[in-house]
Amino acid sequence: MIGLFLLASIIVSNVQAVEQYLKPEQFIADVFANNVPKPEVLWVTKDIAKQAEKILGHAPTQLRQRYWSGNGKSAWILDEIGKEEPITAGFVVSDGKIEQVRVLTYRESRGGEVRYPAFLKQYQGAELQVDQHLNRNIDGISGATLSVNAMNRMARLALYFDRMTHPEKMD
Amino acid sequence: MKSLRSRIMHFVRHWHARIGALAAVFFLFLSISGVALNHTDVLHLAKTPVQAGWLMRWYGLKPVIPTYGYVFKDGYFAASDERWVLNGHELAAHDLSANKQTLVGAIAWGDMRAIASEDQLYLYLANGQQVDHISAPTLPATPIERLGIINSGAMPQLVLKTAKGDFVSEDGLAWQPLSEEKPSATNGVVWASEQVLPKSLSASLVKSFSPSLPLERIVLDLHSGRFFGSYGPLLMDIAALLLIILSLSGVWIYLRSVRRRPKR
Repeated sequence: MIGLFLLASIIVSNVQAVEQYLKPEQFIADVFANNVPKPEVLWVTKDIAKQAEKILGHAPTQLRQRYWSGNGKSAWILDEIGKEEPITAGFVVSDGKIEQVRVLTYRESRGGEVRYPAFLKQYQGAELQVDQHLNRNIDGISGATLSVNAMNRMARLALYFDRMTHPEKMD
Repeated sequence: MKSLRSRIMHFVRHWHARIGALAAVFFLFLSISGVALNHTDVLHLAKTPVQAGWLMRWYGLKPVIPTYGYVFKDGYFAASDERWVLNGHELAAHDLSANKQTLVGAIAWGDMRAIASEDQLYLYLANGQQVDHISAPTLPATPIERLGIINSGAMPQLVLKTAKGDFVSEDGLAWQPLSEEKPSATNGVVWASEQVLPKSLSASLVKSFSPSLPLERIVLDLHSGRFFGSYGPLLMDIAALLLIILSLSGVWIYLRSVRRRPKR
């Protein structure tokens, strides 16, 4: 009886809203105006993983990161945990600057305000500084701090990964 | 002969001390668990799994050990409703729970182990490190019906069977229809097939599939009293009653001692 009660409490506490706002394929199709290039791969070597870990605060989850590149821009679909569940977001990087950010899937019960364009447009034009931080301050959203932090980490990672795909631009 | 007042004072002091000692156990416990819950991230409570058998039985969680799985030359893959396990390593990837019902198969593909659900393809190294997680935009078609491999060429090729035909790839990214690529190769596909897991794996399976709960959940239930089931709220009511008695008797003792203090 007690077990059932506890089990019920676990189930209730694990209920969360998974909202897919945009399918990944639709995001890529939108970015490249339906002329979708073939996906390319960035292998997360030890050196790249080390920098990625500095940005994320944990080791990157995958050894192979896919991206789409064409028309002078690259598109990245990344996952990062806000509080407990990963947020899936799409980033478009052009000339070392963020051109567009979209939240594709949000899985936490609270903090989904990070998907609003009013918040996301703050990333437009953001660049990566030498210390691997964004060159601008992103205003947070009260009650969504962890989700905002996750978005910031992904934005930095997308810019860093993009830089790694242009070895000639690296100093 | 003591006066009635001093006897009442003695009685209140006596019981104030006893109730205080009893309540201290509650409050120490509540304070410590409360502080721990306030700093759950720093203490990694959510990421610390607890597997103690008696505790899992108390929660009514029973181990679900899969009897079927996929066996490779140097390991295995097995899945339960709760988790996916590759060679004893619990696979860390989100959406696994959503895919558990639709697991299609797992197969060794060179150095990697490919695992497919109906609309996702996961690639791992044998040590459980995730290499890639491929979904709709990069997959040739979904739902995936079967997962296979062609070992005949220089590079082993992964094969996906879908309603739109069979597709083959050397890297999991660029897919070709199998019939156009190699019309004769269709017969050379080895499809992933579920089989009975050998008894030699049972120790590893029991270890990997024993139920676990995050420490945060247990501390939270202890703090709220839910851990003790329907008696929990009653226990917390008693603790609250003790605190009320302590507060009142404490105030009473204080007022009495202030009044008795000689005025200068």
